[in-house]
Amino acid sequence: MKDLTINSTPQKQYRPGTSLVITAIASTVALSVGFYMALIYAPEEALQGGAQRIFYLHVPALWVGALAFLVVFISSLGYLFSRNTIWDIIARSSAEMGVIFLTLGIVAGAIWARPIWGIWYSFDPRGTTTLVLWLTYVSYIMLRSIVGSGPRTSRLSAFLGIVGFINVPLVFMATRWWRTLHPAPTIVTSDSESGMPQEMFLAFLVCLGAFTIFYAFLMIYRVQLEQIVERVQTARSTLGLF
Amino acid sequence: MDGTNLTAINLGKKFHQHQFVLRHLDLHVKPNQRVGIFGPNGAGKTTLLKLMTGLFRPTEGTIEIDGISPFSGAEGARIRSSLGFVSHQTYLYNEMTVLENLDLHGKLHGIKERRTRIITSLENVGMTDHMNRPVGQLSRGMQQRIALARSTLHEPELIVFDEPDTGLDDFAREKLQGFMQTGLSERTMIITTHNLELGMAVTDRWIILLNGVIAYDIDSVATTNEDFSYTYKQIMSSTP
Amino acid sequence: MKKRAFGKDLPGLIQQTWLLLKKDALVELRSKESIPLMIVFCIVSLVIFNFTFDLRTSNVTLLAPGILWVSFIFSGLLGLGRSFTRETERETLAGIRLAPVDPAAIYLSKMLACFFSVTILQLLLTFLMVVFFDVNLAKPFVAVALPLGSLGFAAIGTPFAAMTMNTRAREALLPVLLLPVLLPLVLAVVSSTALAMDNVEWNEISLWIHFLIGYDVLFLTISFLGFQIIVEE
Repeated sequence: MKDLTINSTPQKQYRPGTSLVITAIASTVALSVGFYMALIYAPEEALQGGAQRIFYLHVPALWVGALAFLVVFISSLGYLFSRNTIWDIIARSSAEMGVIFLTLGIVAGAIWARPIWGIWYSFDPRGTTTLVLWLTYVSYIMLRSIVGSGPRTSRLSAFLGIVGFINVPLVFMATRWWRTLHPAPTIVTSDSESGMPQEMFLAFLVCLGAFTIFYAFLMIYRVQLEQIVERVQTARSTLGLF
Repeated sequence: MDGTNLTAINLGKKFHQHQFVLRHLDLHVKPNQRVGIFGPNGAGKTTLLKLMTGLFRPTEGTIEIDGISPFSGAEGARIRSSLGFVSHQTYLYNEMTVLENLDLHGKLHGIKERRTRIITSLENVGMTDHMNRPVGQLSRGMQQRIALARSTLHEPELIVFDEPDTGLDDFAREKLQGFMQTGLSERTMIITTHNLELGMAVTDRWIILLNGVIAYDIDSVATTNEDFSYTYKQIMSSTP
Repeated sequence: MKKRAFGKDLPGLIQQTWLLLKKDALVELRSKESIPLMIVFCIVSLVIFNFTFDLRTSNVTLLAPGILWVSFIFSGLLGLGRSFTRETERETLAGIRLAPVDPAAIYLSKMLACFFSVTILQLLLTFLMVVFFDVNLAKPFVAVALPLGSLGFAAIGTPFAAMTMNTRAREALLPVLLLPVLLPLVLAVVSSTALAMDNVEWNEISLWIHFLIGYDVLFLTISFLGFQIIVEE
């Protein structure tokens, strides 16, 4: 953390960085194109009809959720090795983003599953793992809010960020074997992803890209904001103005 | 025995993201010096002492005892073994007897002749009669004396007292004062207390800590008790 | 930060672990606090399961593994939380940290203390399952699965209990943080207990047993290495 130096020359006014502007424009464009392609460009799926279009929201949202938690994992390791606050800021911002996107993905999935599978939620390996992922990072955010901000919180949540992420493949494996060894009511597993027409695949890729850029934009915005908050608070406490 | 020296450079500690309890603190304590640290509640006294004993890791800056950081692996462990800490918390297990508590600490410190050391340190605080009683059954003052025995068991070269007179009656306080004055010669000693009389009686360097910084620092030979008390009251009354 | 290698001062580590473990055993024997609390909680939960699932001979074999492990996990959580809150009441853990003690020794002693107390709990629980519901748990693979489950619980439960010991709402926070991480363990032990009760061959159950061993080793290692960052202040 750099100290805020108090000098007589006025500090430069805050201006958004280039990376923020670029990702903002890029995500606006990409999301618009993505929605156009998902809703109009891509052909209607023969079996599922309009419901299939949820897939363009569902999968990218879950993908970004998973990506966000990978970022939490990496920055938790980064924090423990370097003890640099920036890693902690990235971890906490990414955890929040991840929970938001994952919630979106889960809700979209439930809306899709109801007409297609006839159930809102399926505790198949993917469904369970997603839910455990969601629970892990909701508890991560709870830990942070309960312990309060500070180096201790950063250390504890880094530990949780690492253990929680390592746990995910274990949950997936366990739920998969659970199903194979315990015969369960089979649900229709549609393999629409593999044999999809080229237009659909293209629309899907664009949506995936758009969501990823959008996540990048939100992260840059959030991290910069946190850094500003940090500087202001440090300055305030240095001046004794809590 | 030679007392150790302690050097803190640019020491800072925060528990909450934006609030430093201590900041930019520089302090050098010479071997065999006896330092009294005074100041209002929340000035950062306990935090400073816990940083000295290695219970807290500094957020900023360094703290070194005889030039070694208490966090530096095996060397650090050796340094931590030469420290004693008496807090207003006794750090004793209520369910265990006095002897068992001291024996545990003796073993953790790797003391060879534990039995004799334990007896000596209990004699020093006048508690040999209560050796086999569970700590939970003893009065607050007695527990504090056991805590004193515990923290001198391994014959530390630097001993740190954090308000050791908390919960003691006048009699026990006098005994404590006597122990500090005579029983702990040839050692570096650092003490915080709200009791200015006691603090001034047992130390030869007086520091006033305020809002995490050293506001006043003077050797006892350079001032008088009255002058220092006056300064202390002035500083204390100037804080909200 | 000084990194601790695995083999660093092994005799010292074992000796400190042993000292701290003896201390925990002594405190528990004198206070008789955690283990009786866990046992009583466990019996109460068995009584509740008996009625809520309407247990009878026709369905008890099917439900027994789940009941066994749900009772175990929740009772175990009680004892786990106590083991650290007890240390914060008079800051005795800080007293231990004042001595030159390796944090890994604190971890190992607490982990083993937890392992031994939940093993006592488990033996009693198994006995009660037989007495109350007449299920046959005397199978060789059950004897393999149960200790592996307890070990995994102790291995990862200990750092989580240490994490929550100084926080507000710790009693509620501990299960919220820990249960998602325990889920794979729970699935594995319930499944292997069920398979063991079915008298299956080794090759049918080996997958789960290997999974349990992997889980235990993985989280023992992570906790052993990471405990320092949890207890330091």
